[in-house]
Amino acid sequence: MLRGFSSVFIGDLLWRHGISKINNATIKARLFDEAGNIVKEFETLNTLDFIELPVDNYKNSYIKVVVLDTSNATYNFKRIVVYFRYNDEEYPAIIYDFDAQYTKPSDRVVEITVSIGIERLIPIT
Amino acid sequence: MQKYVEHKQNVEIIVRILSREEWEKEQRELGHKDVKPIVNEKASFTQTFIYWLMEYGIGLIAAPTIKAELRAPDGSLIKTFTSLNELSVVTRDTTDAGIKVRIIDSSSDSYTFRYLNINSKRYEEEAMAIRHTFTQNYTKGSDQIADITVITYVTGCVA
Repeated sequence: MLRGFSSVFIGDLLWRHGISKINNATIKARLFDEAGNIVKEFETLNTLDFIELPVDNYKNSYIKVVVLDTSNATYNFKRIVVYFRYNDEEYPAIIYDFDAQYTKPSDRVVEITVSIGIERLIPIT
Repeated sequence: MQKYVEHKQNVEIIVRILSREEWEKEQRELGHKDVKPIVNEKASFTQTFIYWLMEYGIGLIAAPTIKAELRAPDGSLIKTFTSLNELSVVTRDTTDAGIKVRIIDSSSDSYTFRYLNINSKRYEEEAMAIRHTFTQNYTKGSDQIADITVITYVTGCVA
């Protein structure tokens, strides 16, 4: 089996670059309902970082995003999209469709953690 | 000779809907823990995002003086390259993006290699960016040309 990127490259420099691009977006994340309507926008993220985790003697690198809504708003959501900014334009960077539509009541807090990355980088030596 | 590798994405999603009291108590007592992501095909980087990351990556690979190294089966250095014959971002369809590197050695050197290391430089820091381990040893004779292309993809993106 061939292996490629080292953790030095994609786990650090590339991810840090990617994080800076996400950080530059005006609207950093949005929640959508089942019909595709925007139900919540996040101008700030509760967490935006990269993590490295060893799995089976390989390094895996991830971007970790946490959004938090402590508002009194009530809505349903089915999809989360995280955005990035490049050359004065903003694009989706990460998309996740939940298995079911969730409901946020007004008296509840919503916290969503998305950790996404690349598996099996160069073996740990 | 052309080789490529694929790097699948891993992801873990955690959704919690808590009362404010529960959440505030947890923040005080536990804080956040890192999670161990699992394979989940419902989440993805977009191809656009990975493409721009790769564009940034090839800028880093273009920077160091020694851009690539061929190494013998025992890991010893046998050949360095100060230029690449090709360095580009490539896609196969709407679900991946990768970095393509091609080196050509038309010298009269003779050697056997197993590894290709590709270096990067950011500010003053140089580091190995890509390491390819070939599935077999290759031998270049003095009357032969080594033409090596490696493409490293991130797969499973969404358009």
